Amino acid sequence: MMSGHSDESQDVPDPATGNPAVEYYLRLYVAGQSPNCVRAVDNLTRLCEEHLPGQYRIELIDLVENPTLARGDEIVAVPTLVRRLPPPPRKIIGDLSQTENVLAGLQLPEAGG
Amino acid sequence: MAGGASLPVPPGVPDGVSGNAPDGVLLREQILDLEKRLHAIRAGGIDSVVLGGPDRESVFALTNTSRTYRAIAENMGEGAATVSERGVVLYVNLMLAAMLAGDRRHLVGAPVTDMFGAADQSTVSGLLAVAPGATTRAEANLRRRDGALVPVLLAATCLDLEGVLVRCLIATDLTARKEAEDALARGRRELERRSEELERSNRDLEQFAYVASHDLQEPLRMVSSYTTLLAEDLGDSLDDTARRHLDFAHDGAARMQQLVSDLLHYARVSRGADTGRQRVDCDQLVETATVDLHEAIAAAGATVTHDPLPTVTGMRTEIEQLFTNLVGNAVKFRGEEPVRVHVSAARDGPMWRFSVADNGIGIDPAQAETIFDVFRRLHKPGSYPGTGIGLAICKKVVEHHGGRIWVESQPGTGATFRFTLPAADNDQVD
Ligand SMILES: Nc1ncnc2c1ncn2[C@@H]1O[C@H](COP(=O)(O)OP(=O)(O)OP(=O)(O)O)[C@@H](O)[C@H]1O
Ligand SMILES: [Mg+2]
Repeated sequence: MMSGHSDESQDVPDPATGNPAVEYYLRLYVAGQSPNCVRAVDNLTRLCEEHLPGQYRIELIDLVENPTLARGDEIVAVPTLVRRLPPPPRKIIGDLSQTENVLAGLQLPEAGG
Repeated sequence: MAGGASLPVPPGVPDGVSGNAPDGVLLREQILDLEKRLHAIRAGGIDSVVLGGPDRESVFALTNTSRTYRAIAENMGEGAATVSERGVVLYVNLMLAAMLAGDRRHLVGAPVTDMFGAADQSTVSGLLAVAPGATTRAEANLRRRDGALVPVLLAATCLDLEGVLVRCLIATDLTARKEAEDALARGRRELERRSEELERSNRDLEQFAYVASHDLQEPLRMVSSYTTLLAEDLGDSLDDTARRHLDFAHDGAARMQQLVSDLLHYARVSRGADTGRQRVDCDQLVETATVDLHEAIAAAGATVTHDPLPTVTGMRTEIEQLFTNLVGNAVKFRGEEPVRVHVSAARDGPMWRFSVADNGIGIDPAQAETIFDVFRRLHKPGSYPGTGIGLAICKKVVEHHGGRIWVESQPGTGATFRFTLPAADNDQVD
């Protein structure tokens, strides 16, 4: 299940978007606008604004639009947050409402203590 | 309310546990079991699964039951987006992505305010503050990736998804409407500018004619008085040639006086405000005109008749002038036969259409327009008296009343002049 690491870490922020490389590249998988997915989006946004100002980029992937995108990160449930950068990749499932758990999962320096 | 509570992997716990959890073996088995179930779901024709929760069972739909609605939103001709409470774009339909000339991958997940120009930020925030069940609308400009602005009408509604508020935004492209409006406004401005110009040049011309004719009168009177005095002073001492020359000068001055006074008369028509509009009984006016012209009528042995004529709205003296000029012409430009002039009227919408018909010499249709010009005459000077101002005044009077004047004629068959004037009462039909 974790065999795709080397593969995934190549996937740095898309140079086509012109976005500058950031320290934290987060990918949130959702399926349409279900309550948990919507909550996850806002929880993640708030968390990043507070703890990672200017150092993050969020990519929102709607699996209803494109179910095959689930394959790359081996997503089995939504919402799932994947930390693409910095390596190694980490996943967090759920609506991200438990801030402490998310901070720990992302291994943020602020939450390290 | 924490999502995914019923899944074996607790929310917020990193998924990288298989290698280092103390009870990793048990966990691995659970995960494998879950994977098997997921595989079964993937392979089979399962629509929903039932999962046990702490208090009760829950049904989770696997196939997207709202697919049809999504297809409609996806393909509709207007831009559509959904936005989270914090203003993050959750969904953008094909149309909105096209309007923004952007890639949905980059639009989704970004702040909704990124879609709009700096000037519209507060409009959009205000719009999105819409309460559940309400709809707010505003015009704004989408800002495309290349910086171009697209005018849109925005309608925002708020959906309550089990305690989570989601805003739906519909954007109607106003580019075509704006362009049409702009073109229309441009056309209207141009038209206004031109008609203003025309009006001004008309006014200038009238002003010039008025001033010129008015100021010319005095010096002309002097020329004519002094040539008369000169002729008297010199008396018999003038030889025939000198007297003839003096007569020419005197006649020229007199003719010029006539022209100037005609021009002044013409310039005076419709000068100033339309204060004198009133109900004008045309029966009476034609009678008056006939009396005014009685000498000419008698001299020509003419018969002037008229049908019962209606009442119009207008300037009495101007309309009287109109009838006098037309009947006067009809009597003046007579042929071999005894002159017969007939005035009649017929209703024409909000107007009355009058006809003054004679059996005189008629007019070449090629001249039907030009005879209404100032000082335009079709005959050698001396064959018929006049300066050629009569019909120009008629035209000015009729147009001043919002009507139209024209002539129907052939040489030798008489002429019928027609013109329209506004009816006094639109319901009055005599
Ligand atoms: N009823 C008519 N029949 C034939 N020709 C006409 C008739 N009315 C006008 N015309 C022609 O149109 C010309 C212009 O008419 P208009 O009334 O303007 O001038 P006028 O009668 O010659 O001079 P004024 O009206 O200044 O005394 C006339 O000179 C004449 O040639
Ligand atoms: Mg005349």
